[in-house]
This record gives sequence, C-alpha cells and structure tokens, in this order.
Amino acid sequence: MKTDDLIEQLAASLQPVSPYATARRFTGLIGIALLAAFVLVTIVFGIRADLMHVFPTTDFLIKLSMPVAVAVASSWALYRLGHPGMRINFAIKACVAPVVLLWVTAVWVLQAASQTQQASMIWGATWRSCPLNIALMATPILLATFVFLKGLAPTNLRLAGATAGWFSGALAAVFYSLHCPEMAIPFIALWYVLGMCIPTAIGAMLGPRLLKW
Amino acid sequence: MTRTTNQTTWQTVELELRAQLLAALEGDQAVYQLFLKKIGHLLHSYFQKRLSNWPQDIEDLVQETMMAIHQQRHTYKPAQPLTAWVYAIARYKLADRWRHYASHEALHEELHDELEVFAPSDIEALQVRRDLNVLLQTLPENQRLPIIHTKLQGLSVKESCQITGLSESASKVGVHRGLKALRRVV
Repeated sequence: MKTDDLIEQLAASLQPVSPYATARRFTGLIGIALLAAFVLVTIVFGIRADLMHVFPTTDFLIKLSMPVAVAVASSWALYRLGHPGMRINFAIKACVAPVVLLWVTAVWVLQAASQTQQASMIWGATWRSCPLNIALMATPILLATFVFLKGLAPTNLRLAGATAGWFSGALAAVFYSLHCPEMAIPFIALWYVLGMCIPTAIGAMLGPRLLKW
Repeated sequence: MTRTTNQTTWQTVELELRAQLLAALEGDQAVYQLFLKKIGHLLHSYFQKRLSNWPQDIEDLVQETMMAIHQQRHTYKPAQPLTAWVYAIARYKLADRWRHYASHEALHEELHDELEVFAPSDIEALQVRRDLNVLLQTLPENQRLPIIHTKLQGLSVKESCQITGLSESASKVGVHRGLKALRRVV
C-alpha cells in the first residue's frame, strides 16, 4: 500500500483523544488491584490485631514509609516510561532512593544494637514466609499494571516491566504491613525488599514479551 | 537579511508539527493529514540513513511507524517536545526491525561473487569435451561421423561425404537424427 493511501486512511479514521483517558485508566485498574490486595490481606493473611495501637507509632510509620514512597515514585516512573521520549533518569533514581535510605537506617540501627538483638532484628519470626507472601500479593497488582501499560507505549520494555514489578511489590508491601508482626527496620530492609524484588524480576522477564506495541 | 540556521528551522518544524498534532488530537482530520505527510518525510530520511542495507524495507518501516504514531497518539503530552516523541517511537520500531534482521539473517549466508562455488573451472572445457565424446559414442556411425565432421571439425557436407562415403542427403539426415537423439539424452 502506498504511504499516501495510508495517510488518507488514518486521517479518515481520526477520533479525538481525551487528555484524561490515561489517568482514568490508571485509577480504574490500580483501584481493582488494590481491592484484590486488600481482600487477600484481610481474608488470607488476616490483619494484625494490634493495628490500631501500632499505627501511630514511629516504628510502624517508618516501616510503612518505605513501600509508600517507592509506590508513589514508581507510579510516576511508570507514567514517564509509558510515554515515548520522556526522560526517566530521575524517576528511576527516585524509585530506588527510599530503599537506599532504609538500608542506611538499618545499618545504623544494627550497629547500635547488641549481638542477640541484631540476630532477632535481621531474622525476626517470619523471614521464611515474608518475601513470598509479598510476592504473592503483588501478583494481581502486577497483572493490573501490565494491562495498564498495554494502553501506553513504553519504549524500554524490560525497564517498564521491571518498574511495574517494583511498583506492584511496593504496594503489596504496604498491604502486607497491615498483617506482618515484624517491626525491626533491618528486617524490613532485607525481607520486604527481597519480596519486592521478586515481582520486579518477573516483570523484567515478561516485559519484552508482553508489552510490545 | 536574517540567517536561518539549522537550529531555527528545526524549531519551526517542531512548533508547526506540535500545533498540528494538538489540533489533530481534538479531531481535525485535514490538519492531521498534513501532519502525517510531513512526519512521513521526516521518518523517510531518518530510516534511509539507518537502513541503508535494506532499502526495500524503508517505506515499509515508515508506514509501520506512522501507524504506531496514529495508534499511540494519546501518549503525546503537550508539555513534551514533539520531535522527541516522534523519534522515540521511530527508534523503538527501528530497534525492533534490527532485532528481526539479526535473528532472521543470522541463518543466511550471502552468496558473494568471491565464493569458490562461482570460480571458473580450469578443466571445464576438457570436461565438456569428454562428455560430448561419451555421448557421441552412443550414436551409430552414420550419424556420429557426419556430426563430428560438420559440427566439430568445421568441414563442409561435401568434404564429410568424401570421408564417410555417404550421400549428401544421407549425411544431412544422419546429422539431423543424431542431434535429435542427443537432445533426448541430454
């Protein structure tokens, strides 16, 4: 087909585009995913009994702040990754910064603690199940994020997939905090982050295959 | 007289295309057509420089990229430079195409003229002569000899008849039938 014919066809099929379409889609999809994650946490895992007591404490807020910050930063990064030509350097750095900060804090907390305290801070009681639980909860969110990305045009498929995974892991970690009894910062810095890395790796693997346009 | 540098022409193109696309996003079909035409030229020269090994695919890739631009036009935000957006899409499609060539053509071995297979054979002439002799031996004498005399040795029919003792018509018939027989074999 000649290019001029194609141009005529495309112009004839032109429909106006709403500037809010992307935002609406994002809210809708992620809303569904968050609902699914909330249901999982309440029914499968069970919300921790002392949540109301623990919620205003500094420890809990610090524990919560990392996943929340990562989720906000990675949703911004996803937006930029999905639009061709937008610079993403700063956004990607912003995604990783909260974790780096948490690691620095964890090291500082560890070196101030005694030997036995350090062991219990690192291992806690649930280190075996924690990362996998977060990864499990991230799965519906990762699915929703991929569906969202299919409606955009990411030019770096692997990075977009990985960021989608990082975002899903962070949101899952936020919800998991509602159930998880662990409070130690070193535990969060190690096992929560590991749990977030699993959907990131899955997203990086699936991105080039599923996000094509 | 004001000098128009490359920078200012670039900016003019950018502003013009941007205005056109924003109008198109509202639904203006006529402006969209102008936009696509201009984009087509930009894309053509972009790909021409980078697909010099596959000139037949340039137009194909231009059309593919144009369709992607159409389908993803909602991913252009007014705050963005338009040319950055267009070239990001072009780069993505180009990388895809290169990946396709890499996996596809990895199995191809090009037949260059320097390959040994195409080297002229030194003994070819001798091989042909031998084959011909073998074939001619399959013919009866009254066909073989006139053929050898008139076709291979360049003698006239009369001279051939003097050697073979055949009449001229018999000689000619022999040549004719002999060649026909050879044709059937070959």
